[in-house]
Amino acid sequence: MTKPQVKIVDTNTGEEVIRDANTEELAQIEADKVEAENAKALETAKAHERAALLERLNVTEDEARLLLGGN
Amino acid sequence: MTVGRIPSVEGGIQPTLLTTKGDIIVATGNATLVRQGVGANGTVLTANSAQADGVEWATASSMTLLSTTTLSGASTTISGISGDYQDLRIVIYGWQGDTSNVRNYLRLNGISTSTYRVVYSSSYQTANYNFSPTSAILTNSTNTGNSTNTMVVTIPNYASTAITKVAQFYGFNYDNNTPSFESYNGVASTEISAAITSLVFSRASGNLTAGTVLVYGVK
Repeated sequence: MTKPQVKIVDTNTGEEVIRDANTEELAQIEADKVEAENAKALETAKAHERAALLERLNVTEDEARLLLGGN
Repeated sequence: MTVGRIPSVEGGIQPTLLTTKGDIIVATGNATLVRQGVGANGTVLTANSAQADGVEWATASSMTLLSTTTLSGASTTISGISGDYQDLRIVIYGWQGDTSNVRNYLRLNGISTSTYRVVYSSSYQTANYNFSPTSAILTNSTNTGNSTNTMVVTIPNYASTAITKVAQFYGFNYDNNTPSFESYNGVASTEISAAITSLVFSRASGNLTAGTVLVYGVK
């Protein structure tokens, strides 16, 4: 499997380097993936929680938005 | 008609007061005139009560384009940013990746610890987005093939080594899946006190496939 590549541009010299991601950068890419997955899971859980609450209150999403001052 | 020096008369101004191209006459007080020598190229005359004659030549506000960079790879780093300016303004358009529904990340000096506190409001939903703390300046998700987006980021005092940095941002995305437009604006505070000399652009996952970054120094 090919390694992810990173691009580095120096504004002083205009030099542009494209190379394989090093160990530290690969670790960051993995960490970002995990963080994004966690954030997504949290968002999904919140969406479910919101939907359940709306159902319990018997109001639609539009009605709830109106109630909270949104448009 | 003869042009030349005229005898001193009450209320008259001697032409010899001015010596250099661009010189002007200003007052230091009631009926007291002095020569204000021409300023350096590009400077503007500014009021300053601390000066004897009440004015001074100052650097005009201006924006200088420092770099134009196309986004690609897992990340794109713009390094070696000059510290010669007051503020940094970054304009990004067409920011795109190969993975749908992931956020765009911007990291100052590549710092990825949870030092950013990001809050922004969006036309996409009523409540504010609040990511505090998080590992990057981030905005709402964008999809693959979503090239219609622009984001503007301003970092005041970016070259200071004494104060922590704050970034103000605004922009819009066009969601090609829904489809719908999203406008947003927000702020990201950081715990970074070092001068900002590099910017790292990436996505929460996958590669950058397109996008142009213009970096301006603002005086």
